[in-house]
Amino acid sequence: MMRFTLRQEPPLRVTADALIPERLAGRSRGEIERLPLAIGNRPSTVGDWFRVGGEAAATLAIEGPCRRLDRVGAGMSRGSRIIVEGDAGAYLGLGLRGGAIEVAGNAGFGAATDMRSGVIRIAGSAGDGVGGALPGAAGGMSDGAVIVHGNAGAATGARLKRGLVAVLGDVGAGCGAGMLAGTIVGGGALGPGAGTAMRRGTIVALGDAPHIGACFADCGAHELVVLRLLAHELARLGLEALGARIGPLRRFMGDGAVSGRGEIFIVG
Amino acid sequence: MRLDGVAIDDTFAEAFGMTGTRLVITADTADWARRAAESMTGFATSVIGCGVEAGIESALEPAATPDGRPGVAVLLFAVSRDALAKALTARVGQCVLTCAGTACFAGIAGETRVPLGRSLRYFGDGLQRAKRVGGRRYWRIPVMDGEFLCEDQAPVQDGVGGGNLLLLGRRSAAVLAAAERAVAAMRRIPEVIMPFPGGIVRSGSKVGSRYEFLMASTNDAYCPTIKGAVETALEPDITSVLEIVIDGLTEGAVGRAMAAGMRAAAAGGAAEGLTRITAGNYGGKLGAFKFALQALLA
Repeated sequence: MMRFTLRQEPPLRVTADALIPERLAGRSRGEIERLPLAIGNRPSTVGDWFRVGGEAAATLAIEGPCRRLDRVGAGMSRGSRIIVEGDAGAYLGLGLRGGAIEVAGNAGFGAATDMRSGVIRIAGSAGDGVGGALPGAAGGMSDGAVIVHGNAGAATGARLKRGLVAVLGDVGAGCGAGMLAGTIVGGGALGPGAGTAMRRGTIVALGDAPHIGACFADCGAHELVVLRLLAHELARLGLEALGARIGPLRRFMGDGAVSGRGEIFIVG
Repeated sequence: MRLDGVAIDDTFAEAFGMTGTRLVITADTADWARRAAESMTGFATSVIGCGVEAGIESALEPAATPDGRPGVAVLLFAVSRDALAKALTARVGQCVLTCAGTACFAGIAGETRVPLGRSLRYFGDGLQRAKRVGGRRYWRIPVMDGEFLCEDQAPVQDGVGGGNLLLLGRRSAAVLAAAERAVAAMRRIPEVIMPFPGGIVRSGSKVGSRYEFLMASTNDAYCPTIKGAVETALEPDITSVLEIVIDGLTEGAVGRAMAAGMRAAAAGGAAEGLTRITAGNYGGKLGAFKFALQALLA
């Protein structure tokens, strides 16, 4: 495993997408330390900011005051793993194509934006726009799973195309807004505007019942096989306790303002 | 060669390549899963007359099914991928979709697939929903007791159809008892089915007929009531012959099932009435698979 230790907290945002295992494979420690790294708009090198230890391998660890490290794991592909032993900055796992990213702390804005595959686990909370879309893009995250053990901010899963976003805590306003497909599970409270303009997809709210918009049709409480499958999938991802909370749920179909083919499940 | 006094012919069963798949049917109770499975594997004894050969492979505990409910694994075999696809759509549509509380899952993995839920979804009249969970895509079709959930596609694979054993004996009851023991033993082997009623067929067939419109007719060489009038394969004291046909997902599974069947059939000993075990073949010129009986027991 290769380990990158921040010597000190950077004064500006750092674009860290060079630090993914497949870009480091086959390089010596010296070559890695000479790789360019942008600090704000200033050119710099990896070695200027990180102490590099270990050998290049499929797993990579980043430690230190990392909250200004943006785009950690961006574009990483299958088979690689990044462990962030602290907070991560914005756009964690941007365009992730495979592999796993684990963050011990919190993550900033836009985690899993345009994610294509793989798994992101955030032990703390995540900022706004988890699993969202790049500016101007029609759809956001298109596969894989994002697990947030704390809370998630506004617009979580907005324009989600496919995949699973599971938040054990509360979720901010506009969860699943404009959602195209995929699944969002919220273990805590959902903010206002959940599912606004969702075309398809599933939002499962296991916490306090959120306000459901008038364009959603109440279809009653049901115990569905698809919810059992979802509970199994959550258990497979290590979220047994969250999955165990899925039982008979009340189904709302909507958003009727667009095409009404999505659904929100709530307790009760 | 003799097994517990029962003669094992130095011959082979000739079997053919088929296209097969496994489906897993679940329901709220094991009873309802079994009812759906029995219904969808009914009238599926022979591709000649039914278009597909199908049977129940095993009952599944909740822990072994995708949705954690009791289930049944069924195997289906046809002569081609298209024929199998057609049979799947018809049988799942008429016998599983209609059965209370059921869901239907693919039971094997693979890249070669045929439509399943994606053919049946139109029953939802536009209110059906596709859902991907855990990398697998399903269709959710609204029905009157909730939703029928069905896997989008079913992988298919090359299989083996027509493995067989012929049990010959002096008393009908003894031959039937031996056949029942054999089928019971073979049902414990995974990846195989015995598609005829109770796993046993009494009307073994030969290819062709004196009637132009019939492609198969009675295997007169093994019919004891006419043995004096035809070119018979039976000894004078043989009064009953029963056949067990085996289809499997793999050649190895068919071979293991045949071996288990022979051992179980012969376990009663020759004194009980079963005198000989043989197999049907076409001289080895038609089928891709040959199962030599004595070699299977070696």
